[in-house]
Amino acid sequence: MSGTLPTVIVFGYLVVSLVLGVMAGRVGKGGVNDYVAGERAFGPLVMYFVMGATIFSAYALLGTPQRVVEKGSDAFYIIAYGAVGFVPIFFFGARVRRIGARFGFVTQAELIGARFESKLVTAMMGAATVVAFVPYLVIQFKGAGVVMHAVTGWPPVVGAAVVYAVVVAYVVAGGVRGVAWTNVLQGASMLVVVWWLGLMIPEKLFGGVGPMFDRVVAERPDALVLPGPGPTSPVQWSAEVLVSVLGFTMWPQVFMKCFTAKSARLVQLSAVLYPTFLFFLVPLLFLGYAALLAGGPHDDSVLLWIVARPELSGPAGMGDTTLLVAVVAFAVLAASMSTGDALLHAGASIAVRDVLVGGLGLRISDRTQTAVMRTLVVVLALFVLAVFEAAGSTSIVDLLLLAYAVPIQFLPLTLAALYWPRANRVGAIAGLGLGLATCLLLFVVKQAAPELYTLLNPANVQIGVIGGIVHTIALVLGSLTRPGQSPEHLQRFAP
Amino acid sequence: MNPVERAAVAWFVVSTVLLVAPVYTAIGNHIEPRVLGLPWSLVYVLLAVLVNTGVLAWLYIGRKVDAAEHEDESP
Repeated sequence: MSGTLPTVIVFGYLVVSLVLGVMAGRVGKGGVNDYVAGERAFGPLVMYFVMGATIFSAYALLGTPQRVVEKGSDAFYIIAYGAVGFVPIFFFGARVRRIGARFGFVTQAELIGARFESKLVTAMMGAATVVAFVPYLVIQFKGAGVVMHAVTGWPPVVGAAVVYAVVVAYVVAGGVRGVAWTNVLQGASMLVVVWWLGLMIPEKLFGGVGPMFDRVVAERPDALVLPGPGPTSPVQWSAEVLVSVLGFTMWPQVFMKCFTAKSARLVQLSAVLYPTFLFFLVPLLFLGYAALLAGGPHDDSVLLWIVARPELSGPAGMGDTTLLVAVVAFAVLAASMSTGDALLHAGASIAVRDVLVGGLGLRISDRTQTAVMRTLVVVLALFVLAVFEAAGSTSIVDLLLLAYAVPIQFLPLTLAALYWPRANRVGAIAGLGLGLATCLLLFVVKQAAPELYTLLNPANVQIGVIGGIVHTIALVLGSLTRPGQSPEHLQRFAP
Repeated sequence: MNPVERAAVAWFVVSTVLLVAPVYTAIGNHIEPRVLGLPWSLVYVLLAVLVNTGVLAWLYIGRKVDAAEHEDESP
């Protein structure tokens, strides 16, 4: 599959990303407020792509068509949860932005810890976030590795290392501005490429999207409704949607972008415009159904497989599928990098601000904090690369189970911090501590003693939901049985 | 929370219910009717996105939710 054109396009794109990311970082004054929150100066264009491109990862590009082939209409759950998942940002985002500007907060845990006057809460949130980011980052590295292998023939770990060397360079040099402006490039590229492929390939192979679905109805109607070939039960579908809705806006790398907006209203506008990014999944579904009819593979190579169909070459196609492969490689790299850069940047920022400064109380200057963040971007990337090389895909999937449980633990705490004045420090510490401990315990039991896990959790409810329930109960009980925080303190967090 | 905010929150809770079992499986999980060639099961979730976007746009333009401007400008 390797050739000159894909190689030129991919490396050309990497060079453009590097230059753009590094140049973007030369605008600010330096310091933590600049490196982490871009001096709270992002306008509508940047906010739109930062929110959208950060969320849509390599997993969305490679995994959505794969999910159609494997599980049929179960793949629609991604759109279903997206319909509601971003709505909370519209309601709390403006308030978060205002409070952040008032106190100088740049991370989610800083806001929550300050509201509950607890360094422990800040440290627990920060540490749990960094742990949750690792498997999520490994998935992005894997996406980059798969594409680089297809384009250059290099081993995936080498390809991922090259791509993420570029990402690390512009995150270190450019901070959140580097992340943001490369996200504009990456997000726009993804939207254009995916829509073009999603409409063009069904047209070339089946005469259009409608005729393609005519064939799916005739040949594979089971792939258009639940339970589908998976099969996916109604309970599983509902759990997928609800769990994703609960955790969607609580991912810290998304939440903390509320602090970067130029105004509170702009955060709300980002939530209104977000569905235009959600529709980018539609052509990926089309490509999945095209692959299903064409007998595509069930693994994450399906997207690269469908664009390399010989039927797409020749006069009716593009002349050669090399260009299509190059374009897909470009889009997958854009998706991987636009999520991976945000995770590396957020992970390093959170480790410094929430764990070292907020949690452990280290007194280090603003300048030193920024230097440590830059160092940690490199360390985190190297660590993830080592995990990617060492771990099999199964263990990554297992780790993702734990990773997705973490943001759900932040939901009760965030809502209580913003909307429930009675919530207090004792409730927050007890809720978060017990919620995270429950998730960790269930995860360990599931790995070490699957039979015991089945006994403890016979309905196989997502461990994040169980942790969230424990968290909420402890938060409410702790808050109601111990004195609340002073009215003067609460007044400072008023909207 | 003002009455419009309460109504908006209630709507988004309802729209979540519409996207999960048993409501989705009863009225969304069908191939027919097809719209522009797409199966109803897909059209249904896309409609949910469109309607929710419309509601959010109305709330935003009408400044119905938390639209205070104080402290809005960058420090």
